[in-house]
Amino acid sequence: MSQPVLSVENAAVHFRSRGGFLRKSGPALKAVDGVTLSVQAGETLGLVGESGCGKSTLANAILGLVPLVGGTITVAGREVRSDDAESLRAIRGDAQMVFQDPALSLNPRLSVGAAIGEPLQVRGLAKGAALRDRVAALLTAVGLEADHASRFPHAFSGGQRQRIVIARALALQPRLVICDEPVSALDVSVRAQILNLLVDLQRDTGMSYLFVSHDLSVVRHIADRVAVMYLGRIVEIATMAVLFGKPRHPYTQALLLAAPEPDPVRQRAKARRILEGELPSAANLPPGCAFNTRCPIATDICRKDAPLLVARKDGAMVACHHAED
Amino acid sequence: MALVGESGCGKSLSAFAVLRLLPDAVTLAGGRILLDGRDLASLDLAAMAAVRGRDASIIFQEPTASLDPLMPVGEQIAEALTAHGVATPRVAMQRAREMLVSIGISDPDRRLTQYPFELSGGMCQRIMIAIALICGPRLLIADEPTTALDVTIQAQILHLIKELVTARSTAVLLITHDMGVVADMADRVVVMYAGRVAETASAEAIFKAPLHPYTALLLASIPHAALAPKSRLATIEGTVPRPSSHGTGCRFASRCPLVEDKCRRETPPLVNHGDGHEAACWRSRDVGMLGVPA
Repeated sequence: MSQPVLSVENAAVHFRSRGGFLRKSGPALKAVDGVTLSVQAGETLGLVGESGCGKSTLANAILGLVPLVGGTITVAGREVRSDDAESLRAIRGDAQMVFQDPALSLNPRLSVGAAIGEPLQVRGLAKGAALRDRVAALLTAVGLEADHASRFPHAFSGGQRQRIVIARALALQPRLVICDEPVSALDVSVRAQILNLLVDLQRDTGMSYLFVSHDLSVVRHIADRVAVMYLGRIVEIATMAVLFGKPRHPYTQALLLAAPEPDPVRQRAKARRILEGELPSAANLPPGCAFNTRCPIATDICRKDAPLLVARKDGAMVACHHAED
Repeated sequence: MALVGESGCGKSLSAFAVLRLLPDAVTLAGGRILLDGRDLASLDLAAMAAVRGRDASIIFQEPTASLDPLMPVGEQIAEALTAHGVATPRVAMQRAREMLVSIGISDPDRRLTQYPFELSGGMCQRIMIAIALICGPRLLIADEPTTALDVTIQAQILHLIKELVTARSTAVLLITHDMGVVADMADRVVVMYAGRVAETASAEAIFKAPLHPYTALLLASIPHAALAPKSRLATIEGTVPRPSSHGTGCRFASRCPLVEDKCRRETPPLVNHGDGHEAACWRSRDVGMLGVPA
C-alpha cells in the first residue's frame, strides 16, 4: 500500500487542570489515550463517538493545535510537531479543517473573497488578477457565484457559509480535509446539499477526509471506513459495511441500536437494549476497559486489563476481551 | 403526535402559543386552542397560569438552562405541586421522591438535595420530565427534548417518556427536526413549512407515501441504510421565504419541483385523502413521481 496521507501512531493528548493557591493540579485528563489509525489517499475515515470521547481533540492534534504527550502523527510523510512553527506551516498546506459552526469560522469583517484568498496570499502563491481568478474558481467549485467574493459572511445562509468555509479549506489544494461535525448545525435539506458537495469534491480532487461526527446515519453515508471512539480510545475500526453489518464491540452495538432510524417499520422492529448509565469522567477512568461500567457483558478481566485493538479475519480491529471473531 | 419541520418553520411558536409562552413581540392573532374542549386562547393570564403545569406542561431542549440553578431539584419538583395548591410542602416533597423512583433514578434522597450543576444533562432532563409530569397533566409538550443529548442518553430519555406517558395516558406533542426520533416515537405526524401545516398523517403513511412535495423531499434528503453509500441525496433548492414576503399561493411554490401556475395564485387548502391523511398541495396526486425512497 502507498504511504497513507495521515498516520496516527499511539497518539496521546492529556490535559491537566491548573492548580492554584493551596490546591494541587488534578490528575491528567486523558482526552486521547493511545490512538492508532491511518487514512489513505482518496479515502474517507469516519470518526464517531459521543461528546467528550476525544474525537475533536484528536482532530485538533492532527493540525498541531494541541500538543501530544506521546506517540506520533504524520501528515503526508511529515511529522506534526506542535512546537515547530515551520513544520506546522508545511502541514497546514496539506491538511485543512472545516468546523461545525460556519458562522464562528468566518471573520465577519472580512469579505468572502478575502477570506478564501488569504491562505494563497499569506503563502505568496497568487496575487492580483490571478488571486481573483483562483477565488472565483473556488467559489464556483463549491456551488456559489464568482461575484459573491465581494460580499460579507452575514449576507449568506448557514449552508452557504459552510460552502465558503469549504472553499477556503480547498484553497491550498490540501490532501486531507478534517471535517469536524461539518453538517451538525445545518437543517436536513441543507445538510444533504453539503454532503453531496463533499462527495463530489472528493471524486474530483482525490483528497481524503477525516470525517468527525456523532451522527451515524451521516457517517454511514459518506465514510469508507469508520473508527469508533470511547473515552479517548478507539474501540473498533472497520470498513463501513463491516462496522454497520457486523458490529463487534458492545459499545458500537449499543450506539447503532440507540441511533433512531428514519423509518418507522425498521425502527420499531429494532431490538430494544438501552445502554444504562452515563459516560464516566475522562479525568477518572475506570481501571481495565473504559467501557466496563456500562458494558452488558463485562467480566472480571474487563475490570482489570484494558483490551488491545486486535485485528479480526475480515480486517476489522476490535478492542474487547469478549467480542466475537 | 410529532410536529416536524426545519428551523424557523413555526413549530416551537405553535407549541409556545398553546401555553401562552410567546415572546412579548408575538401575539396570538386568531383561532382557538382547545384542550379537552376548553378554549385556552380565551383564558385570562391567571386562568392560564393554573393550566400550565397542571393540565398541560412543557419540557425544553436545554434542561440545564430550564432549571433554577439556585434551588435543589427536589424543591423544584415539589414546587410544581405546591404552586397549584394541590399538596402541602411536606406531602409535595414525598411525592417528588416517589416521582424520582418511578423514573428510575437511583439514590433519590441524595438527588432531591442536589443542585442542577451537580447533575449531567441527561439527569437534568429527567428532573424536567419529573416536574412536567408530577401533576398528571393531560398534555405534555416536548420541544426538542433530546437534541442536546448524546445518542445513548437520547435513547434512555425517549424510552422514559414513552413509558411514562403510556402508563398515565398523557398525550404528547413532540417537536423535533429529527425524522429518526419521529419514526421511533410518533403515532401521528404534522409537517410544518413556513408557518403552515403542509401535511398530517399517521407515522407509517408519512414515511411510506407522503402527499406533499416538501415532506417527500425532506425524507429523501436524509441519509439512511437503504441508500447506496455516497449516492446523491435529494435536496430542496432555494431557501425558506421570509415571513414578510408571504403573498398568496403556496409558500413552498418557489422551491417546489412540481410547481404550476395555480400554486402561485391560490393557497392550497388541507385536503383529506382518507384515513386522516391530509395535505395542503394542489398536486398531491403527483408527489409519488418525486422518487421518494422505498
